[in-house]
Amino acid sequence: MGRSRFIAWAWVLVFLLVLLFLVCALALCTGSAGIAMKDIPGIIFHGRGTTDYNILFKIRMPRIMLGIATGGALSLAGAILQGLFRNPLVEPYTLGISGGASLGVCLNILFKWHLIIGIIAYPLSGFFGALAVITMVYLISIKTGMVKTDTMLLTGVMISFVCSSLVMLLMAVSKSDELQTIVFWIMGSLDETNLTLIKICCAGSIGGLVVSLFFCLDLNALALGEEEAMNLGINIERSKKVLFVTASILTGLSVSVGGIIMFAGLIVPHFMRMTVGSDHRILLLGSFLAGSSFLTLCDVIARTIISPLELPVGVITGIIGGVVFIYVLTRKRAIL
Amino acid sequence: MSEHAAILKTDHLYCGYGKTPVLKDICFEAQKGEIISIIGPNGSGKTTLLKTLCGVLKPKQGNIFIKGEEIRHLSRASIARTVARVSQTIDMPPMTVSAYVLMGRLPYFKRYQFFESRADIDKVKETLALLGIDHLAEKSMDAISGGQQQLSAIARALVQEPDLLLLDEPTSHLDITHQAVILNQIRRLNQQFSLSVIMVLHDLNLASEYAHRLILLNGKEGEVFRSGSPERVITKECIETVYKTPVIVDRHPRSGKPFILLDG
Repeated sequence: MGRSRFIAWAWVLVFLLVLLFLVCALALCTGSAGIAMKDIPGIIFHGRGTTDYNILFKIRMPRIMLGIATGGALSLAGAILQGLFRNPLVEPYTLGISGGASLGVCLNILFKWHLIIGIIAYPLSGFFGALAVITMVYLISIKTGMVKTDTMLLTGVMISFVCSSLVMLLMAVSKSDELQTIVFWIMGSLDETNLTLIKICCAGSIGGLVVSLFFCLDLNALALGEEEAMNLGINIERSKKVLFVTASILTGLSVSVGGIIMFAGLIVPHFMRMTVGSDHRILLLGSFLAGSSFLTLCDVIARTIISPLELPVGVITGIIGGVVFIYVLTRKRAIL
Repeated sequence: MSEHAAILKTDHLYCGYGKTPVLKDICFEAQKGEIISIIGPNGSGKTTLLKTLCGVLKPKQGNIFIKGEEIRHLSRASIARTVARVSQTIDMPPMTVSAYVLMGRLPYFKRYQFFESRADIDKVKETLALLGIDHLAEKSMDAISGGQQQLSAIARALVQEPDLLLLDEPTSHLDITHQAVILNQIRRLNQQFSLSVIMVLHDLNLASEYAHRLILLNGKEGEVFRSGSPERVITKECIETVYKTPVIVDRHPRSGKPFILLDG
């Protein structure tokens, strides 16, 4: 307790930042163009206008930014939801939030709204899909008076099923080129070239981080149970509303840009909890940074493993995440 | 909030979860320095009453006044600075005892305060020492015994610096050693700091021994059957009517308080 713990937290943050920096440097160095690592500082400082400079700053850099933003957003959403539900197995997918988001984006691909209102249609449709689901889950569960988290979880799982069935329905009725777009998008990739979209994604995830940090103590109190949190003077109804909306914005954004990237929202907060403990004052920020590094690293692997071809990053996170998760579960029983 | 008004007063209070109230027409006052015990059969709404008194459940009808102020006009944090509740089942989070107890300082955190102050930490240390569990400070909440968990939960409630402590069966699942430890601590806090206490107790003999005043709820009707001193409430006629079980009522040889034994 006290000072020593804050110092430990500061070290954790320093470590995660250094890790993120190293992973970014690695991501900047790897790729099919074959730019040597030792040349990179030279290109950055003196190579303005050359092809190599353009590859670094127009192709690799945006992708890294996107990895940081979506990885951070998904992990943060996972950490928030796990705190709200006091359940380490909850993440945007279990609640149906990302199901709703993917349904929204599929509708967008099918009806080509992006041709009418521009590229912002993707994150907007994702966000509205996510928000529609969370509103529905919320309204169904407050019918009993107070928001009960277990009712909400069950409703979320059901809605998730409905959404994925609807996505399949859309795929079944779509034309072959649309089908390909949907399939590729669902598999999850950070190969997004639109700068506006990347900027929206970065701004959204940073915004979500800032908002959620204001509620870190509420999340801590909620760990004792909803009634206990009320007894500690927390306005839990308001905190829950704000946090659910934040989580759906984070999820909607990352799903609309990166497609379905499994496990980042589950495994990263889980590991953070095991290493730094369950205090949300460090957990939220830590999960965001660790998630950024995790997804950027997974993207590097996805880009290089069968180079010059690319794997969808969702495949990598799914495999790494799933295997590590099972390994950890079998080794260490009591996690939360 | 007025300093002279009763710490807590209920006025024709109806409370419950659904449409039909579990409890009807509850009127009582808790004065400073009083220990009140709520007794009654299972399902008579004792826990519901406690939850309503601290603002977790909204009253169906009637009113609750905390230091003279209507509960609905008070923010959750200001209720929490006056009334602290220790619930019956404590969900054990994976945190240290000191981190858990420190949560009790949350009602005092300012709007954008995220870190505890030196004073908060000192308050936690002082309270742990007061309850004699300072050696547990760095232990994990799920690695200590039931009695120690109960004491930690009471410590968490005490760092809220409440005027009124609500306890929901603080001695359930504990052996007599820990029952005595907990209740003696509560009595000491009451005498030392004139802390008001309202506690739900299942054990009528403990209630009679430790409380100044008893409130007996009668099961199905959800009303107060009788309230007053232990001598007035723990009578053969009262207990047999409410609990529908034959009992023998006698007096404790040392304290003179009534106690009961099952009769057949």
